[in-house]
Amino acid sequence: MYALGLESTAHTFAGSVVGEGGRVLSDVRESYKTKAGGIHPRDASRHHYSVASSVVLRTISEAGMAPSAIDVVAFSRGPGLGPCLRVGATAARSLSLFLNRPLVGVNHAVAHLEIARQMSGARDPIFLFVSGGNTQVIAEVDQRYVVFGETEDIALGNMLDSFVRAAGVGFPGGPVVMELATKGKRLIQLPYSVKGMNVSFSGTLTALESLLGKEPIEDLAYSVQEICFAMLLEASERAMAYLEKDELVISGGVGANSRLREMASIMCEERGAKFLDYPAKFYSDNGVMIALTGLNSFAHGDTLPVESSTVMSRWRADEVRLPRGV
Amino acid sequence: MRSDFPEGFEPERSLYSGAESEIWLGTWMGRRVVLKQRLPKAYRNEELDEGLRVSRTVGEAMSLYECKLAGVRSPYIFHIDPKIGTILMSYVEGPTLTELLRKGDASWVRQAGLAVGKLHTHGISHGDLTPSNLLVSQDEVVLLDFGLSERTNDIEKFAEDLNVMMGALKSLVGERWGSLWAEFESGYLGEGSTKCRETIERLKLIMGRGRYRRREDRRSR
Repeated sequence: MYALGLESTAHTFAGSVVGEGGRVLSDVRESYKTKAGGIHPRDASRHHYSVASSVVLRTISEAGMAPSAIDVVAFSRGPGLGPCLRVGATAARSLSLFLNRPLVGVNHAVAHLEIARQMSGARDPIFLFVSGGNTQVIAEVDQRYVVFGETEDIALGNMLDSFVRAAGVGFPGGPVVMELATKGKRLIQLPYSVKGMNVSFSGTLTALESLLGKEPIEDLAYSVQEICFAMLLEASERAMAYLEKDELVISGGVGANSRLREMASIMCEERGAKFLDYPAKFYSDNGVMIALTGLNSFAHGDTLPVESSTVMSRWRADEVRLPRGV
Repeated sequence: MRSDFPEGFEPERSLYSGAESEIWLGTWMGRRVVLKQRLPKAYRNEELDEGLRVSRTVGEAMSLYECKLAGVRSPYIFHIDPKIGTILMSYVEGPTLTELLRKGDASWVRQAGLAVGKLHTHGISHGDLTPSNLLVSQDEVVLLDFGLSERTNDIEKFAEDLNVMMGALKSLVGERWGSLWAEFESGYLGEGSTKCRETIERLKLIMGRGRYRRREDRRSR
């Protein structure tokens, strides 16, 4: 059985074909990039429209199969930017009708967590889901992903983007900060805000912006990384202690930062737990996670009629009953 | 054995190992004591780690002291050493509110509410107000674990405390939480403080906020 998955929640339009056992047959990605950084939803959706058909065609041809061999078409139904989501949905509906194959709507956040769980081999982990738009500490309870802690204001990826944009040193924030941080040595005091399993970054951002030009950018990048990642790991560790879990998995674009993964691995080692890593390219938005989750949902009989397949831009992960068991 | 215990502390056994600290039962100068120790975290930058442990250790000790000024019992502090992140305090013997409620004994809920009301009126938020952090000893309510507490007059923080307590009661006794909450609230408002009345109002607002409610509940509004 093969699923074709389409992802289009934010800056990336991606497609993938996945076979049984999570075998990845193709993985095609096109990202919308701007010089100034940031995403304008309308411009991003125009980008997606312009690459959609080529991504779909490459996704199928790279998989080396006839289109008719695809059994199910999955798409990222939300949460995300409305105009962007609609491009993926439109492409998926057309494919579903054209190939006469069922459609499956996948929750983008659930897909991030599902791919993390499957690729890392974790059984019952705490998830640290940290990307441009999300910062949450999650665990599975009764076939649902439940959020135990989250940011009280902005997501960490968003914060890093805002910081590098204010500093005028490139885009996107994550890779730029990671590069600059390697040359930083001195820790500059910035607000450290953890409340139980929740975190807050807006105060840290304000402090950073006020220090621009007064402190070397390398030291600021080093400090923001050390301080914000420590906040994330304190919240994650508290969740591990509270819920008695001995595995940690990271998902989302910020997870591509090697310092965050290094700190996570030290934290887990210290408490006799395991940090389970997997290839970094699957941390950021991709089509594989949509195909993978879609295939699993389809196997559990979860399909979506085309006429009621509207996108859900504010669809929460905990509203989804996870496909589990036989 | 750890070499960085305060001088003279003889550990007996570890009571609890949390995310940031370890709690030991032991003896010190012939007394039964509890030692709370914030351990260094190797994943954190050393300077950041030391700063956090020092400020949190001192902050927690201050809150334990302020709690007494508010007229609520809390463990006595015998010794603190911010350098090694330790607070040595008296060992308070008695069942927690969680243990009492599990046995079906709800007779302390009103007193618990009263104690929390005093704490808030005095300008302290607890930060982790679960029934497991309330203990009954010698016919008095004792508040424990000020690790996440703050000295503040922010009504939102007080309402968050109550929200945590309410959630814990719900998961502890299920359907019966309503009558327990009424008990708790009557104690909480017992001293007639304006701050407490405002906090109850704010709690209702928090409960109505989108992120605390499921989609179905929001729709039915």
